[in-house]
Amino acid sequence: MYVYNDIDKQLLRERVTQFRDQTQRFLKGNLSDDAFLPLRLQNGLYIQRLAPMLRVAVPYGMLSSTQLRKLASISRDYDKGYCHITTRQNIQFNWPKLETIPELLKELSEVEMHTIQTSGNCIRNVTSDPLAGVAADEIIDPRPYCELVRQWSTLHPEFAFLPRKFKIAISGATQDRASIQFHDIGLQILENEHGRGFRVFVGGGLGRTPIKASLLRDFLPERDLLSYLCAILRIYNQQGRRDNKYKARLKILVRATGIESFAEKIEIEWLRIRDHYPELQEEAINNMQNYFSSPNYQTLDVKTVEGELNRLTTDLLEPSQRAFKRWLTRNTGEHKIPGYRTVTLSLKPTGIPAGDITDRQLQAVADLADRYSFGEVRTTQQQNIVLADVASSDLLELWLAAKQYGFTSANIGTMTDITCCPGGDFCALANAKSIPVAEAIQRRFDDMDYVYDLGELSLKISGCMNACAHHSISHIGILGVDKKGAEFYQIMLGGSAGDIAKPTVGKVIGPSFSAADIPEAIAIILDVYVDKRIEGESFIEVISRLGLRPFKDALYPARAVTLKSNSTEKTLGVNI
Amino acid sequence: MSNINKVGSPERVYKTDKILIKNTDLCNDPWRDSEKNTEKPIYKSVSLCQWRQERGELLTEEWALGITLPADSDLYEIDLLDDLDKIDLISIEFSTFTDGRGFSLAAQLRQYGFTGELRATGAIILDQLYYLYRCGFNAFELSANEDVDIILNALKAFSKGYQPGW
Ligand code: SF4
Repeated sequence: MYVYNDIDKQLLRERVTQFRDQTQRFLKGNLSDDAFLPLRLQNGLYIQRLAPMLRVAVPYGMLSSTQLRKLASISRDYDKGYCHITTRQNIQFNWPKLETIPELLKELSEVEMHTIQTSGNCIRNVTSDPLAGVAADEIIDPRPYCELVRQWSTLHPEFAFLPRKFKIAISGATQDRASIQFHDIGLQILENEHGRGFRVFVGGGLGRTPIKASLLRDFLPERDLLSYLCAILRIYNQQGRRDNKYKARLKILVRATGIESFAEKIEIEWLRIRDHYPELQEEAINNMQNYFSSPNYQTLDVKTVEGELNRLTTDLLEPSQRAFKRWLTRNTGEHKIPGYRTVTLSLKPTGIPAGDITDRQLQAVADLADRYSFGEVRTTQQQNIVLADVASSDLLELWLAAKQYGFTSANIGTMTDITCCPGGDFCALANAKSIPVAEAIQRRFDDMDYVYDLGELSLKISGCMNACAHHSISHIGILGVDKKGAEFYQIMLGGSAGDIAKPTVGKVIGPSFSAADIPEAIAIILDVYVDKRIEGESFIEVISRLGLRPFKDALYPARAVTLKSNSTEKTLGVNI
Repeated sequence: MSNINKVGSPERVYKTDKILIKNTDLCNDPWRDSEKNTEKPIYKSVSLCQWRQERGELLTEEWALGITLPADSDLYEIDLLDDLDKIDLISIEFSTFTDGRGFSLAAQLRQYGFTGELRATGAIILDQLYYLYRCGFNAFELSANEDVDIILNALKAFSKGYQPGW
């Protein structure tokens, strides 16, 4: 993991001092609301429905046990004993008091953490693959590049007042676990005869206009990464729309310009910049790579270890063994080192808002990380926590320990592993609540055998068009809408981001439902899937084979009849 | 354009309540009032419009020439790049402090080798001074109500940057 040097530490201290001063001037009335607004946003501070909300950056999702313990004590001392993992791998505090925030920031800085650029119209925290460095399908570890981009974008003087927020994601594996094509810039690391570099995607995003990114450049040599980013950001800064915040994201500029002319603009600007811009030196990259070298894996007797696991999970199973087996199947994954597994701690037990974690649990995660995973964890887009380096011989012990803290719901990757934004319970922008809907779905589908039988299925709920839960790239996406002051929910089907070759935005299935009807609507959709699937077909495969038609017919039977009779099928799929 | 200009006073009356910080010192603004009572001022300042219309004449005189650009100017659309070495002052005027375009414009001017005074004017706030300075501005026109010590401190908010800067 990256360790701060003296300069990093110094800059962080200076930032804390700067924000302390800004807060004091604001509280004394010497800094206007209007002026304080972007300043506090660039420090991750929102004023929410009930209290301020403070977002802490977790660069590309990596946390050390020391940082987890600090987050635990901050949750206790400054908040109500818990915090929240966001869908951008960050951490949110929901109840800190404005006056105490400078002190909170100072405490964070003691463990090399901060809230810089976690909101506001600037370059946000870089996100990445939660399995970086350990995934079996990884080509190149993205974390050294993530850290280089993190540093480059941190306190960037030229890009602090962009038309709108700006998000960068980097992936180095065959499967895309970072949804890079739904970011303003998505970088896919690759290696070819020209050396190491990036495939650059641009103009992706979710929100009210979900758009898959366009390919901007097939190969960018790694040495040119920062000057090229500078060119894209500069063009966006100068030419992105500032008159309408709903049209201000890069995706709109790219779409309005057309990818070819946009690429031309970037090329011209880049050539102007490149000669004045320091290249990313091999030495700097190597130095950075050293921070992310593999931990000291033990050489395990893989045969014996796996034999033992097999013994534990076959024949005459006791109920507890069955539970362990389920967990092993659902919540652990392949690792590049034989004998090791990745373990996901589920933050989705029924009835707890997705991603919420208490101070006691944070402490427990720190202990588990120290004991079983080299003192490090990663947060995920799905709002869970990954222990990335667990020896298979430790799995049973780890499971028993994690169980005491409620981390072993064996639902990772299933439909009850619901990703859910804070919604109307916390967020000032919400159209509708999202947390109670997630809970109602979890309660309705409490038969885990049924849930397992459905297989890999993502379900995500956002409380408004801002799409913080990424519902539009979910197999089943639920969006809170406001219908004459009442909370309703629109369902989208068929979104997915994992396949780098064909990421897809889901389609709205039809008129929206009340909160009470959502579990039933989901049940109908799942029945159709179970009915139509052919041997082993996944939910998303059935949708790509059959389209939405059978799902629409089942959900809106009355309409199906009328529509068939006058064959105006096109009117469906539009939100009414 | 700023509200101030919209009022329509060409004489830039508002400048009387402004102070100028240049290269981290409080200075007099030699361009201010230099055109009063004289045909041939030593310091001449013009708008972008005037520059476009009178470029030839403006460049033949011996005066120190200053040009004011709105923050949203497109450097490649205005006929300026070839004459950067003949211009002494470029002021970039911000209509709102959140208009980041002026930051990029300054960085571009420095990138193209402009070595004269690069001044930020208009709606800028103290909390931006360090970033402005790092983008290449070396002069700042601020309200005379601001405390000079606070201004100078704001200019030193950070001791180092991760990015190349000017
Ligand atoms: S999706 Fe909307 S309601 Fe949910 S957290 Fe984002 S802004 Fe708030």
